[in-house]
Amino acid sequence: MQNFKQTLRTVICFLIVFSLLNAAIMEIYFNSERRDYQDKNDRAALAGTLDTLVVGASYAKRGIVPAEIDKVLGTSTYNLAHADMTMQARYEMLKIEIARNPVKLAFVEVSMDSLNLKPYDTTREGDLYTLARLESPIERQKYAFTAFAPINYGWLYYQLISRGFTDLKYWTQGDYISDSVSHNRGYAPFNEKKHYKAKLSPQHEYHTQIREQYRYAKNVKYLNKIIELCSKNDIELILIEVPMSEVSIARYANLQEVHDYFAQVASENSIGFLDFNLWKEKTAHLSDLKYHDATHMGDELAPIFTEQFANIVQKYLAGEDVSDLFYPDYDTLCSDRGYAPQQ
Amino acid sequence: MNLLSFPFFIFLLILTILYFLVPKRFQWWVLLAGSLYFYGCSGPRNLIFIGITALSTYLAARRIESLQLAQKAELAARKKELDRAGKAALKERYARRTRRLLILTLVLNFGLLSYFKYLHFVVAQINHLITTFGGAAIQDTWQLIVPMGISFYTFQTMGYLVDVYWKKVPAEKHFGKMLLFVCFFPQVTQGPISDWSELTGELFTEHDFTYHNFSWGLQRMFWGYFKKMALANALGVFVRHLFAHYSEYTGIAALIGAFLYSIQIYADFSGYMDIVCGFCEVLGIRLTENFERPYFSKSIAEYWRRWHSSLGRWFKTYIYYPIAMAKWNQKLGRYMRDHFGKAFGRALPASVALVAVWLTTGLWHGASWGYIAWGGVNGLFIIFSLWMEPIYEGWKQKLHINESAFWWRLFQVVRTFVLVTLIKVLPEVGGLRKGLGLWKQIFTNHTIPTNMHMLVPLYNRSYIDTVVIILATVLLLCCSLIQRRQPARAWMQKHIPYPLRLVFFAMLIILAVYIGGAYTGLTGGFMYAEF
Repeated sequence: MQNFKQTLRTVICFLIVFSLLNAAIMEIYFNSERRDYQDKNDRAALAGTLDTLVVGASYAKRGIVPAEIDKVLGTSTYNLAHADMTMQARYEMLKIEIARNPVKLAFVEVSMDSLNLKPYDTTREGDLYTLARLESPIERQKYAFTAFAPINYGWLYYQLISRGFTDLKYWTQGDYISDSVSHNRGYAPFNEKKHYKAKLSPQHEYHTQIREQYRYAKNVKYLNKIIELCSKNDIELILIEVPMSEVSIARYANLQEVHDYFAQVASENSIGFLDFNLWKEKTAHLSDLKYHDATHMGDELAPIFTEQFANIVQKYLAGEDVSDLFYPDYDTLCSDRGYAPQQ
Repeated sequence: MNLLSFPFFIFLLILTILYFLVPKRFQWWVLLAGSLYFYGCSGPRNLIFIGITALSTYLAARRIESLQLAQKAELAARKKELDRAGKAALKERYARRTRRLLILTLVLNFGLLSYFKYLHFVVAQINHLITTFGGAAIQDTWQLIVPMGISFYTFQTMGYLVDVYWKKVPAEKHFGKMLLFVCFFPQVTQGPISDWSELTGELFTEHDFTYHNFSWGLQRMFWGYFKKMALANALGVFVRHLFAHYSEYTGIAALIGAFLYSIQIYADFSGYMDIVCGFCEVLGIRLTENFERPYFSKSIAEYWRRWHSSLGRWFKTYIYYPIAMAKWNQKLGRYMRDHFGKAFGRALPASVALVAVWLTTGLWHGASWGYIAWGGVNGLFIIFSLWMEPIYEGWKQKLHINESAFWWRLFQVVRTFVLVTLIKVLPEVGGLRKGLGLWKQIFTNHTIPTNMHMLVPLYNRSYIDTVVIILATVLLLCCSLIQRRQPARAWMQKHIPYPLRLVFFAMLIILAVYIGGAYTGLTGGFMYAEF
């Protein structure tokens, strides 16, 4: 019995020390402001002032400039998007900011893979970023246990430790809060000027690929929770598709299915849905050559797009019918732009 | 099941709880079930081969023992009727039968080992010969997956069988116990190669849970994981890079790479030993130690007594002594003594045995000319020292060298470390030709290293990694120095306050995860498992 008691005491003491050391190393990562998603201090400073929010994955992070929205709509906008942001993360981030801001308008980017990222699997990188955006350890723990499967705990632990040590290095170098990372109210430009050079033509790529379209129940559940959250807080919710390059639009044969699904969700819940892939004037404003890659806008395109986006939203909010500004479907778009083979 | 994987930790936890929960007389059953499960995880097919070894050895040992008893009984019964010649004939009759059985079982088991390990090598050599004389090569289409730990368990089991034959140990009557001896999971993949009485004395003894065993065992496991993950895995990235591109580096850089390889393989193998010995210590089981600070050896012969000592002991017991003491070898020794002097007469039988030991040691480590050459060079150094010993003694007296002086001992240690390092890299660069190429690079390219980009694989993540790796190396050295007088854990207990010890071991785990994960994705295999 004495052996057992002594063992138990040692194990508990060791676990406490081990946890404290881990927490200290992980906190270095959680409190760093080196990466474009590590913006909790910025958001905390703006608490109580934001009335418009954007959530979504990297398409929105790289494509929507809050300052441009504010110029047109006179709002105070924050872009909460980050790379690989899961639907659960979109809901959690919205919930946090709605709780401390007088939010009136929310844009949820629902690009083609927003519902088909496999929870607990392909989403883990994005969920790791989300963890670093949550403020309290309790929030982080709660999120970790709901977002990660036990099989990924080892991976998560390694990532947090590894990033903690990496940021420790930056801390020792006095580069912990990086000036080079711009936190423009959440917008992060792809600013390395390594623009995507569309080598392939949309005609050549036409319907050569199909995107996986299985919608995971967990993702759908959190989309519904977002709708419910906005409805409960009297927030105007608009689902948006951030435009991909023309090559990508022509490439995927089943974008219409994605569009139809979200159109149906929007109609069933009386919320807005604007698919900017179908935006008629897209090619006039957004050249494929200025894309960072096939699906992300480069830093030159993002302000141009956001300004046009805000103009359309303004009309939409004013009750105007904006459907004329968009193609009715992808087939019409492809045939109008000459991507579809001639019959 | 990888020793660095999460399922393995769960497996250890469950096994430990069960081990101490079941009535003590069933403890070894828990170990057997755990070992079979662990081994079965490497592929159920492998259970067949280890089963063949266990069963054939069990049956052969029982039969050999029964023949020995029958011989004894018959001798006793016919004591009066048999004269000296009759007794000798009877003994010879039984001896022939036991020898035949022994040889049959040895051939079966070493045959299995050879089939899996050496078939491709033998076919390649035959093809080389055939094609040299213009013949058509044999198609080598055999796809062999070597059963996990076959080199280790075959040697351990055959050692037991020979011991039974030599009447050093009784044949085990319980097949389950025999099976556990063969497949005991902590040692089945990389040893130590224990002898029967040593291991079974531990396995079949009833053990109580004690705080001391638990605490010391875990400390050793943590240290082992740290050595493997933070040091061996990280250095492995660098060493692999350097060995693959050695011709691009200067001699000094290649030599540094070779030294780092020495540290890597030591950290890897001794790390494994620390993990398994530490776990067994938690259960109260003491495994044979395989390392005794080998890099502090003063000669190559001593180094091999301190590095993988259980293998060395096996070769000594079952190959060296039988050959050295064989009648024909003794006769040869006497002949040489009469014709060439005492020193010759003493050294020759030992040298003949050493040649056999080192060629088989080379072959045991791997089926390649590189390993055979590696064994040969080791043997050559040891044989050379043996023959030169009288001359060395003369020199030492003439030069008034004090053998107990620190500087002389330091010189011996450094010289041995450099030599074993150079020999060690021979088969590891990717074949004998490349190994010799690395030697050439080390000895001929003496420009100052300017291409320090060789450090890139280590430095590309963060300088913190480099600091941790250097600290780990220093820690390893300090630990070895402390171990000269007492176990490092005892030293820590005496000199480091309890809270600091907790911090130290917690940091070992954290750094092991951090560095190990960065360089090998947390699950880099163990080097000695390849042998």
